[in-house]
Amino acid sequence: MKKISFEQRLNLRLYMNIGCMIVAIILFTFVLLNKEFAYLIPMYSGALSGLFFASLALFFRNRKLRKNPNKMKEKELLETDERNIFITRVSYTIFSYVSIEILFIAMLISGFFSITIFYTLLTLLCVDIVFIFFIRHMVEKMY
Amino acid sequence: MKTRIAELRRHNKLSQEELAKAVGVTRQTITSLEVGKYTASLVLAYKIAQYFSLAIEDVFLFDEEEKI
Repeated sequence: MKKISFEQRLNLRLYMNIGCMIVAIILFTFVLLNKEFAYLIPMYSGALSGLFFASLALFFRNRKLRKNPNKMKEKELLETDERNIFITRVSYTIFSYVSIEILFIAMLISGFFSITIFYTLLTLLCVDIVFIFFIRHMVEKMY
Repeated sequence: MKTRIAELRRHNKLSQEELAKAVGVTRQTITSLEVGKYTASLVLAYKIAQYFSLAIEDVFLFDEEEKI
């Protein structure tokens, strides 16, 4: 991955925030208009409004940072500090092992009670492993 | 790892914040280095030693029995 400046990274985050807001609005409209999703509206509206407002808050925070060079430097220092990167990596490794182990144990226990839950947890475990390795790959390239 | 950062800093009348700014890390990293909770990377060790115009081994006291 090409090394980019913090300012460029901040710009990228702003675009991603806008993208997430647009996606949230589009999906929300789709869910509201499609009657097949009526039973899922409470769940989807919560998740999508959460995505929208979180993106909006991050957008304002990133824009505020972008306008203030001193604050931007402080934030850059916090993100590029080698001890912080070390702590992030260790936390991520611990999280990876714990989530995989919990899902695996839960899957084995659930097998005694329900085959449906067993396969659901097995699917979750596979998805979790794929995401963990994908994000790890991204983090390794970023720092 | 034991370091002489606190001693050198006091000798040069520097605050942790000033040293942190000069070598491009946070104040918390300097604190952790001083109390031996964190081992600096080679790049950071070089920057700190260079800042005090000393060799790395004069700032960072390597113990043979220390775990890596």
